[in-house]
Amino acid sequence: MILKHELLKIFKTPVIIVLLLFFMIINLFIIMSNAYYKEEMAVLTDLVDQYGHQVDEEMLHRFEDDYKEKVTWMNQIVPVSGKVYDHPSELLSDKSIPLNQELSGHQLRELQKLYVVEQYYHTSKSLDEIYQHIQVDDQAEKVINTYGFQGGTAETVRNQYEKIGDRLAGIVENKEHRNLFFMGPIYEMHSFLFKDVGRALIFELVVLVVLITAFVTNYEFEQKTHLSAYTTKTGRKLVRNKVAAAVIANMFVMAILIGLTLISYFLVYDYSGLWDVPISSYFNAESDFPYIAWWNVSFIEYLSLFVACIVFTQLLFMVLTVVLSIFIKNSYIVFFVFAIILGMGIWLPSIIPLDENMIFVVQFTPFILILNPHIWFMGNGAFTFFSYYEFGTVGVWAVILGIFISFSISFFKRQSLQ
Amino acid sequence: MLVVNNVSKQFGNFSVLEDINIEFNNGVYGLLAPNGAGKTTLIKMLVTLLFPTKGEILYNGTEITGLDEKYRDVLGYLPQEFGYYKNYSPEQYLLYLAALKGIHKKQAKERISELLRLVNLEEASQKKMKKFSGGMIQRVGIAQAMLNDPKILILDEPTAGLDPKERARFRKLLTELARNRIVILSTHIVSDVESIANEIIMIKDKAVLYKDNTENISNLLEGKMYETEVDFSEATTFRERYTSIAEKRENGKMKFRFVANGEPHTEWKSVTPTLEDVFLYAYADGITLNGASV
Repeated sequence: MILKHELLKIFKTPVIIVLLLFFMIINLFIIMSNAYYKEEMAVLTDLVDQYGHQVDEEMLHRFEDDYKEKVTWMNQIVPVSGKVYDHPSELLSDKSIPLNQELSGHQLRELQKLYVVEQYYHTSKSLDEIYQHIQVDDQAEKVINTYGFQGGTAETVRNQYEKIGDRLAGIVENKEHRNLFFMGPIYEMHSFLFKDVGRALIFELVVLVVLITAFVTNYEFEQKTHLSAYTTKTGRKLVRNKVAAAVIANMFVMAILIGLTLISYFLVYDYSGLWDVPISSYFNAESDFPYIAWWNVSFIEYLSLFVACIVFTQLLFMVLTVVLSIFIKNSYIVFFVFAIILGMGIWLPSIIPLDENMIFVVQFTPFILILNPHIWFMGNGAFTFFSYYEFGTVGVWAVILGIFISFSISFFKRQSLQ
Repeated sequence: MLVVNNVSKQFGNFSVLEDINIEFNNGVYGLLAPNGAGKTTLIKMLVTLLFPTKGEILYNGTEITGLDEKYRDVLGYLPQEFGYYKNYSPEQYLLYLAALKGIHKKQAKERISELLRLVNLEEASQKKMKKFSGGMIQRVGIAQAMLNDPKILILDEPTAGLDPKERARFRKLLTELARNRIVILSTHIVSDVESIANEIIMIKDKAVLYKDNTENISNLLEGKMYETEVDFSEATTFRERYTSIAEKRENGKMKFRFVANGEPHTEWKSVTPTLEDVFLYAYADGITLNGASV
């Protein structure tokens, strides 16, 4: 009954509803910003429909036969007799032929599609070769030089990349890399979903979670009803109901914002047939060094882990907000102080010398965790490449904030209320 | 029985109350003192919003903070600044407070309807409180304090904002309620408690100055309270010599109600002292009266 009243206070507040709508609109804009790729990306969906996502010998044969058939068709429609091209990229780069004038719209579209197919074809054929040339040690040195790690920290990077190398060998052995996915270098869909959309989601949720939590925790003080409320039978135990209401409301808001954003995303970008593709697929790679997840997880599993990590991180922020609200009785000041703590959490690593391993320790905070969501659970990046970085950060901070909230609630029981 | 035992309260280095000892049994207690004397601090300790720096408060022999919700379950409290949710109706707000007081919804609805009738707000029960006058809000506050039929009812400045008719109605209500409970009413308005309080508690200089019934406290000025008329030209000298309690212009002269300790003049008229006379005299600078039990 009390919980219901506390929840009503939250959901009757226009600012929460308005912010939720505003953030949803922002996310739709972000999602639509890549929509011009949609048609091209559908080529992969067709390929997966036809061959499945696994790139094995049988698939490559069928793919090659079909591809060559299409190249034959291409050469047939070439307006200059006698000229033969091996691949659509050659035709498209031949500036001597005015394709726009010579080919029909339909033919041009088909040619463009074939050009996209060519990219998948070439990459599929050269996967093993590419992986033979990935030098994990070189990547470690590149990271060391880029960031200027020295002494012990440089050694930590090398040791860590050794483990990443082991995992890379595992990926090759499991053939995780041999799975079709949207071409990373062209579409950068991994960064788009998990960094652009994901990071926007995370920061929007931080705003909502901190506001909701501070609002409900401090509601009685801001309405000046605390003197009546905290002298009732429930008394200061009311804060427990408020925390429970904050958990429910925040989970609800997260479900709505994450749910609607992801539904919109997957309605715009068709991932059918790709849900089971391992996230460490080479096609997902956006640079020379591919994404290397610490475990063999599919796209849908990775997405689930990603959502779970967002939820747990936001719950940590919620607990931190409750702790602040016990000592600061104004929700806007709580929001401001939270922003300062977040800023300090992000700034702190920048003052640690790059030759001290402490530089890696200070990364284990939820404030740093939320900065690079696209490399969660992966051996990528320069500071957060530890296999249990996400679990460790969430776990350790859950314990720390658990102690803080217990202390704060005990303190509140004996706090003078004026 | 509620007992305040050697209670002192300090805020940092600033002492507000020192060694307060009071016993409350069923009946109305008027906590009478000017603003800033520490009434609200004492009340906030009685309702567990503040905690004594020294001493203890016992209910039926047990420390009230130890009793925790068992104590607050028998407590009704109207704060001096009664806050409310502006967009709620009295019924909605009282339902929330009833839930906090552990009253089931069905039972609460009956009790709320009964109380809103009692405080004459039955017709406004569904209206948003942001449209309410100060008096109406205060009546909602009185109703919420009585929601759980408390054994201890503590009201801090309850008549603020009430019109004379509402005040009279409220006093009558309190007299009825006080038959089987402790009612502590804090005020700086003497007429609020004069006629209904079984005992008056006055606080001065961080300590209890008097704790006695109205008659005994009033009698402290027995034989010292007079009225007389003085020419305007002599009014200043008169004020310097005697403690003026009340003054008014009458028949072209200044009429004084005052306290005099020496032999009365023949033109002075001896009058019966009231509680207000003692209150005004006691809180005049540098004055101390002896005699009432503390």
